[in-house]
Amino acid sequence: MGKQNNQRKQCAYVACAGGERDHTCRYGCTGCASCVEVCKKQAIKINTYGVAEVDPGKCVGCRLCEKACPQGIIHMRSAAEVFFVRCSNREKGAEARKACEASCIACGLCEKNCPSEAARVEDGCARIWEETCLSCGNCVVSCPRGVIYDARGIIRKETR
Amino acid sequence: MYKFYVNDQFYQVEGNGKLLPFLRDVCKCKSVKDGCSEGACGTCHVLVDKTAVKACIPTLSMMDGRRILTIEGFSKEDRELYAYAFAEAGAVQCGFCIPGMVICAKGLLDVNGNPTREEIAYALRNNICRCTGYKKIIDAVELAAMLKREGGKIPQKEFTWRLGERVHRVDAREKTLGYGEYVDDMEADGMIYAGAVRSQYPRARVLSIDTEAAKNLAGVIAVYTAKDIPGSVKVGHLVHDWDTMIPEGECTRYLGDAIAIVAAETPEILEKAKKLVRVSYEELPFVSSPYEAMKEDAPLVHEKGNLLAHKHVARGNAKEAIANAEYVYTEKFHTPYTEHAFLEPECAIGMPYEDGVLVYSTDQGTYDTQKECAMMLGLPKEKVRVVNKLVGGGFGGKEDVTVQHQAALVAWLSKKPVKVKLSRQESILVHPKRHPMDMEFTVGCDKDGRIQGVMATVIADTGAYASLGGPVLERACTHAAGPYNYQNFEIDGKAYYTNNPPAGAFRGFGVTQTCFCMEMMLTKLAEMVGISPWEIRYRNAIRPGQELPNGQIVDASTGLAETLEAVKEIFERHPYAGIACAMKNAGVGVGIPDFGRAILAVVDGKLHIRSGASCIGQGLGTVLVQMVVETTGLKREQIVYEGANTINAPDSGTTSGSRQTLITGEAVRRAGMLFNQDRAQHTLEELEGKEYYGEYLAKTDPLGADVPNPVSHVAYGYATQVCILDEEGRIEKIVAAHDVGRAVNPLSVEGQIEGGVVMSMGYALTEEYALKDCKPLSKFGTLGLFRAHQVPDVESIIVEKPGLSVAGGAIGIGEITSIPTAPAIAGAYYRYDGKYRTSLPLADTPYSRKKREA
Repeated sequence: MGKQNNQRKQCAYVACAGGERDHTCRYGCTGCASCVEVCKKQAIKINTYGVAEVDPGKCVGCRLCEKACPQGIIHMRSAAEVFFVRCSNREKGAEARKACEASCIACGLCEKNCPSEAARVEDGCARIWEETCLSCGNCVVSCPRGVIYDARGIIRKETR
Repeated sequence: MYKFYVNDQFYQVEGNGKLLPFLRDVCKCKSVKDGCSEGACGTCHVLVDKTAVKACIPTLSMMDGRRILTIEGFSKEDRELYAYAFAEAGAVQCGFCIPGMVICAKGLLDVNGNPTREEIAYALRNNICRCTGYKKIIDAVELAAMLKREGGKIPQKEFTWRLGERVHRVDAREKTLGYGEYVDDMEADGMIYAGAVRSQYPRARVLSIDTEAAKNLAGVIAVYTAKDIPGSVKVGHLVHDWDTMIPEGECTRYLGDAIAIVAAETPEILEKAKKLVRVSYEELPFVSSPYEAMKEDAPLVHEKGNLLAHKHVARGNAKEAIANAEYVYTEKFHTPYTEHAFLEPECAIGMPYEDGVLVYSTDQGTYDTQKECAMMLGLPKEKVRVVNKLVGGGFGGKEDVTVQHQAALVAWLSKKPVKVKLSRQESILVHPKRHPMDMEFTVGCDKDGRIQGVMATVIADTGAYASLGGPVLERACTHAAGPYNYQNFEIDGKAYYTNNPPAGAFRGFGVTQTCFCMEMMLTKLAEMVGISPWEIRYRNAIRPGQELPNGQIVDASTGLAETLEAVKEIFERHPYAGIACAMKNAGVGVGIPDFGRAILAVVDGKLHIRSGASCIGQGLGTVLVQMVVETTGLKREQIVYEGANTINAPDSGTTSGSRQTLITGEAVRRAGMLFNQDRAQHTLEELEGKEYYGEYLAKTDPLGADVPNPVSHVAYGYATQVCILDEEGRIEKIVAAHDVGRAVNPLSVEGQIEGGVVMSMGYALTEEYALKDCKPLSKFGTLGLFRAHQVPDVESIIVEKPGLSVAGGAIGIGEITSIPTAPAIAGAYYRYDGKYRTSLPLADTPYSRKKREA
């Protein structure tokens, strides 16, 4: 709320973390590298899981990758906000589980544990509402699938 | 095995666990406060590899290889920098959020040495403050940044400490650096932990309580039920209707009722054991609104009936005056429950002491706590000693006993020191809230807008227990008339028990509710008459020598007209400006004996201030020190302020009704005058061991007293606030002009104004204490409290007007700052979009909660 300030620098993120084995998810990143090609800052690479990953240090928030992504899974977040969901799967629990080991199964634990109703499951997938997020990390800790990330790398899923 | 550093000290730990208890209990970093343990409040921020992180969520495993910094590990330069900046800016009130703020400030300044105010506010967005309204905290960080850029040299400020000076608060340093002790920061050898098993139903008969399984759990010390209470099961601030625990065979009245109290060796065992207490209930129909409560066949919340209080206040002939008025308007209004959301949850430590118990508490009246604990233990009062530690905010929500009597009971029965601490969710459930009220007003005025008469009704939901429901209803009724000069007023108010959480004192004490109505009425009448909302108030404003609708002739300090004049230009300059006025009593008043008491004692060559008056964050200690300096001419270094307690400090009443500055202030001044008589002949050293007792009785007439001009209150504060909206309908600024008689410390007065205004911005726009079937659905993070990056500028205008003959002319300002804000905002929206809103929080504003969107 209030007048937006320059703290609200935007940064792209890929809403897919990929699985360690070949995943069959039809919502996720296919590794097509369209985003890599359009990025003028070399801020995106295809990582070891075969999915695109943004380097927040290099990203300037120009949104070219967001437009280029054929899957529509690159989104923008405030660079200063730390938590984001790296999955776009909208299927029901069992199918989502089958599709990828790092998929959101819409179990709702993030929503249940969020103190401020910022983490919500919508249309089969978790989402963080920046406006009400209190940057605590409950969603990361409570997610059984490890699909919510801390951009700073401090709070993480216990077992990973 | 996890390895990490805390403040450069290396730790290697085997087991996992949350970071926050490790920092507090193992590392003894008590600056890291525990305000919610659910990631919502921000009091536990620490720097992890230079990044601000809430410590209550991450575990030790996540800290492997990292470096953690708390304020205890700051360099000397940084400690001095932040201690100075926060004190100089007046950023510290209750102080509970401050260490977390300092951490986030350092996190920012270490990477950005010259941040804008917006950047600072954004860096503090995850830290909730309920006292300050954030403005002075942002000032402090701005100042710290500037000092740092200039080489970090800390200015040496000299103060005279006389009345009127912007001195640093006496507790600013200990609170900023986090070494000041709140109850939860205390430790005691062999301390155990206790907590309550609470009712599963808002209303049910407790058939049986089986404590065996819980008692058999290893590490459980005892499980107590009502049968174990040696004295009165029922306690209560005024009406003794609140069961310490619900006995077998009796009925529960809300979900916060305690059924059993478990004591265990550790907090973890306590939580396990609470789940093992088996209670069987006969579920009964509950009462969830005053309208259900007033039905003839309604279930009885208390056996004596559901009507707690009925107040009828009348003077002149309102009916006739309205009948003869040129313009008449009638409207219904509703205001909701509000949660205090003080940052420090309730906590008490009880311990055996001599032939009684000692209770360390965080409350608004040590003597109230003493009285209720003694009653419950069946002991004479003097065997219960109560000592207040730092109080992390109260706002009215810590006037009742919630954990104090439980701690006293367990300490008395187990003969062990015990801590009872509410979780944040328990706090939200248990302590009394602001009363929701339904009101109907009819106001008539003449062709020039002069008020002829007012008639009104009030229906209040007082919840499960009386708490301060009676006086709150009374104040709602007496102040509904507003600070205006007319003589025909009649109001009828009723407060009903329900099975909702209890309602009680909350900053404004009923006046926040009725003021909203009366001010909205005036805004409407101004339109009908064809004059501006400012003009109608100015024409009716009470002026010195005139009679209030209650018959009291107001004194020379009455400065309502001056507060209106102070905002006239800004109000008229803006198209979307709303305006509202308010009055609020300082002191309990209405004939109740209202004593301020203090002892000044000469100890080791210094003058110690001892008074049982609680500082709940408003800055009473600083006020009293300034009073002593003003009266005695001693230097600040020669004066020691001691906290409230029942051991060596006399009873000076509850911190309630904006009364301490005036009433205890005057008592201290009187003690100072006695000291001066001796001091004229002796040096301070020669007076070693002597004590000077000061007492002040604020004498008033009871309601309905048979005198032509009863004195209801010894003093009233007055205020006018203006809300200015921008083109998008967002609040650009709130200007608050307050008549305070004499500002003891203008810096603190501004802090009260800014904080009170922002608190009521929440009341007006965003806050919600949602209940379903008597169960609170809200969590700390969903109450809708304003955050640092969301607040507009609040400009304080302090109007000083002599005329009050006590306490140097100072009138308390704790509550009034919160009273006219909501109608000023609603008035602004009325001009912005033409919608006349009669219910809070206001609907259809840019601040309204967004519904779930795809």
